[in-house]
Amino acid sequence: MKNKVRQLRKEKGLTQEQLAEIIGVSRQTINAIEKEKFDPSLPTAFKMARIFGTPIESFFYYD
Amino acid sequence: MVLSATLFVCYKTANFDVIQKPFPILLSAVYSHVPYFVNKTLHFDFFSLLLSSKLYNMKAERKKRILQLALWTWTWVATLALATFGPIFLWKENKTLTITAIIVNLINGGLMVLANVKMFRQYDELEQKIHAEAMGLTLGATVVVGLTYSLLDQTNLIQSDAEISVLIFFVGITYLVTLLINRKKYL
Repeated sequence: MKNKVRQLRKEKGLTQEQLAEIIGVSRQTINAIEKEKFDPSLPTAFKMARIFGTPIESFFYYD
Repeated sequence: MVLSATLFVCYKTANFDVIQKPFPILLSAVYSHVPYFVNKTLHFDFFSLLLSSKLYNMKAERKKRILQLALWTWTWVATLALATFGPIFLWKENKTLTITAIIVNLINGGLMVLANVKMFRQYDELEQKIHAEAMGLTLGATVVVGLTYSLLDQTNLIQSDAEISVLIFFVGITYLVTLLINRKKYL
């Protein structure tokens, strides 16, 4: 699974630590998601979508 | 030693930074009455604060659970030592006291397992995946190695008798090693 989490996070001016705090996961989890080593759960993806103000499918896509 | 190392790893990997950040809980209550579409910026701020509030509780809860796990683990080790050495050094083979010590140790062990389960539920999704994979690998390796070890004893290919303590040591080491490998893999 590919994603644009890093790009959207930077557009929002958030650090990994801040995004992790908002979502309720560890900073390492955000890092693993951005590096595409780990696919988040649906609730986490929905939280990200609400923070980024964009639908899930616009930043998570199957390659 | 393995227990100490595991607890140390859990404690070190936990992030308590957020605990120091107080958060007005009232704001969360206010947010629940604000529609999602009102204003994106406003929404983002309220939503962030609401989630931060939850996280504040999560971090505090995690610290509490690590301490609970440490408490139950060490009391279990202590009651195990009491049940093992008590009949020899303290109460001279008194059966009632020995049975009592064993029952206390068993109950303490059960509480330690429950503390472990609560701790596991407190992990975030990636931590749960890392630990679950490590546990799966440890379980599989223990079954295979344990049966092979037992077979070696039965066929007299090893000099000494098969001891359960060897297997428990193997479980601890395997879990720690697989945990470190998984952390390296995902983090």
